[in-house]
Amino acid sequence: MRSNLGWIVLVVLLAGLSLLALAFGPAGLTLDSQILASRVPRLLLTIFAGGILALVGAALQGLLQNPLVDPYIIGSSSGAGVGVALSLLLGWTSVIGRPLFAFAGAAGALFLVYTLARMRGRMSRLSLILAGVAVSFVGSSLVMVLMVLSREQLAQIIYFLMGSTKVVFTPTKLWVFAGSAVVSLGAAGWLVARWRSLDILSTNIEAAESLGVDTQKLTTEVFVLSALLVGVVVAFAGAISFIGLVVPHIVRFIFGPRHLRVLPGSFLAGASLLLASDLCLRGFAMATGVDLPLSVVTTLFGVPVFLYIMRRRLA
Amino acid sequence: MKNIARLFLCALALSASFCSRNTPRNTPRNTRNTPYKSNGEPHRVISLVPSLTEITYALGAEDRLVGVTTYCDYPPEVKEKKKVGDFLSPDPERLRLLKPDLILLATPTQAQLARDLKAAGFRVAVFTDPRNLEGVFAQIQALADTLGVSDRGEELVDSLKSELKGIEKDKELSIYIEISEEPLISVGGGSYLTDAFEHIGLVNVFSDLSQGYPVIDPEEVVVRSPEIILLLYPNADRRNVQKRIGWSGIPAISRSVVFDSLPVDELMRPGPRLIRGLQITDSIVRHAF
Repeated sequence: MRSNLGWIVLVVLLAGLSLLALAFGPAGLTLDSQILASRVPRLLLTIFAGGILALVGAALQGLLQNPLVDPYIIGSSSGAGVGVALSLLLGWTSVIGRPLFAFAGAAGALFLVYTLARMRGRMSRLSLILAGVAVSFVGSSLVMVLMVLSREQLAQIIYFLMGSTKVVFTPTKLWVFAGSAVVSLGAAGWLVARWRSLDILSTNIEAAESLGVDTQKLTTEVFVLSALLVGVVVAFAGAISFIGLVVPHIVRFIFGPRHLRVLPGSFLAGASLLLASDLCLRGFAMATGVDLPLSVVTTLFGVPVFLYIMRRRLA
Repeated sequence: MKNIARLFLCALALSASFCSRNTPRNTPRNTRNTPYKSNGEPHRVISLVPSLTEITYALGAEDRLVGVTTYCDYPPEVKEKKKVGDFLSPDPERLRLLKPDLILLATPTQAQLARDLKAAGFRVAVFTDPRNLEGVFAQIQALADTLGVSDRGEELVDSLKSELKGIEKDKELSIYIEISEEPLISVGGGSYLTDAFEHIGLVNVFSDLSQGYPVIDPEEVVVRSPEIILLLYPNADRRNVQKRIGWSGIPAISRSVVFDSLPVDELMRPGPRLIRGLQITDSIVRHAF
């Protein structure tokens, strides 16, 4: 009963926030097709980015059995950062060029982490985390080098690293986004389909193998899919922080630890949290003319929600 | 993440250096906080600001320059000058080796650096970034006075003013200026550019924003419906802007008056090349109307 109510609340919340996002903006409440045409892509990107980040966070926390894991620990966001910084340095700043470079950077980081984490043909979860952290640091350092070299574009790179869904779409970019989003949702579905193995892994690591879970295969699958999904999100919306770390915990408080509920629940809750943060940011910008970084708002908005639920559930 | 945050602060400071919003204080200050007197007319000057480097060259006082930043790239001869490091963290050892008798800085960006250098015993002259065209002229004159070449400063300012007179127009067309595509950054009322474009009849639709270079919502541009769009960044492509979803109703887009081949360097630095940048912009815009 409780979980049914939880689902209804999440769906209604997402629907309500989506309507608000369509109705709310500098042009006010309007049915103008031009204005709506620019609000719809932003809405879709926000839902996609928030949902995927939270879902990937939940899958990785389940796989790595570590509550502090977030989607960026596997290195793809800093890889994407290198890609973006390179695109700026090379002058490849077209609307398509930047996402392509970002995704290529994320894929490069994925390849590196995968190669480094495999030892004697096996990939342990510890080596995965450590290789991911190492590649992240190398990526961040490379970004800093590129920042120094690209000088005037410094602010742009950093803004990208903080994340934003305030993206200007051209028809080509919209098609590229739509295509990647459809493929990504397929990949997300694949992750959800691994819920049973993730459950077994979470409850009893030692027994997982004897219970028929191929931990090697599962680790590789979850890692590769997560890295590619994060690559797509970062390519379009930058590295939005916090969502992937905390939303899965919120969802576990509501639905319990089973991944069949945690994964889709995280998608809905992550999308809602990012939409709510984006609305706050828009309202603040309209009232004061000051644009806050999206990651700041997700954190300031998400932490009270998280703490409230945590205290209620643990009390 | 901490490093990223630190870099972000640097970048903010850096972008603020191209964009100033404080009231012009045209009298440079030295270590004793009084206008710089020529009792020791400076002969070994280090400039830590690209626009001040350009002004020094335009004043014909480049012989006095013994050091510049890695960001100083105009005029081309400046390459031969010794580099002391970047804009915010010049190498103190290199500064000392050059034995400067004056270091040129700009606030608000370099306020802390100016304090540090002063405390380290250097003589500094601090200029406030200009907020309008008058501020740009005043800064040129103030630097000329500091360098003891007031006459040349007056000549330069007079010639720039007379060049400006030739292109001055009443306010007539509304413009949206874009200096970055992702994120979308425009120019606000806090930048000298808003005032500079008004002199040639182009009124910035974001002039009410107090920031120099605000990040804006694409929908705001649709609401403010500018008649002209100026793209002020390298590799700008007007075709991409014209295809943006939701923008087709903007007069500048429907009438196809989006300009992408503007003199970015001249316009983005509040120095002696600014008026030439305005002349070129004026002729490009007028040609289309």
